[in-house]
Amino acid sequence: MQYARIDGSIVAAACHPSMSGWRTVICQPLDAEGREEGTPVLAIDPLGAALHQRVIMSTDGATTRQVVGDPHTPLRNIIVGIADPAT
Amino acid sequence: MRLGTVIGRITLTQQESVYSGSRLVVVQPLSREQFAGAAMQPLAKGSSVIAIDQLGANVGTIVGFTEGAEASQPFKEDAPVDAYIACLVDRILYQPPR
Repeated sequence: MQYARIDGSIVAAACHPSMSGWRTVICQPLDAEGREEGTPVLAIDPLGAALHQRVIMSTDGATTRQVVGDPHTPLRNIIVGIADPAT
Repeated sequence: MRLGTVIGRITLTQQESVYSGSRLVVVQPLSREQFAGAAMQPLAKGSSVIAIDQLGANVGTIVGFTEGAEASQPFKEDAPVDAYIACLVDRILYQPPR
């Protein structure tokens, strides 16, 4: 899993059927101290994390296939936790 | 999934049976500046990716593409695919903290 921060979201009408209806957020990966690391990636967000909130993003496709409920989904990144602001 | 801009297309004379019905496009991954709206440089840094497209992305479109094992999931039988266009992006709302 990856520690990341929500930096925005995207709107995509034309997409794979398994992806429609899910909120797609832009995640900026962070290192342990919270500094930015690498370019942003996209993830689907079932938890409704707010902008600039720190989240835990799973990069395991099997988790996403289970949550989305479609074994043929091309999605991999999914938000599985929202970090407390204190950490 | 990563964001990228379609910069070209590839036409195959012979192809795997599983590719029939989809197109091959060349995608250049976006850098962080381009997330914020900076223009595409003609010779961008970083290597471009050849992805399978079933949504009809043409040159200049910003797309979301997945790589690795998840890229071959949408195909019925085992497919030699490692990059797949999952969505055509209409709008990017990118607001990193100041």
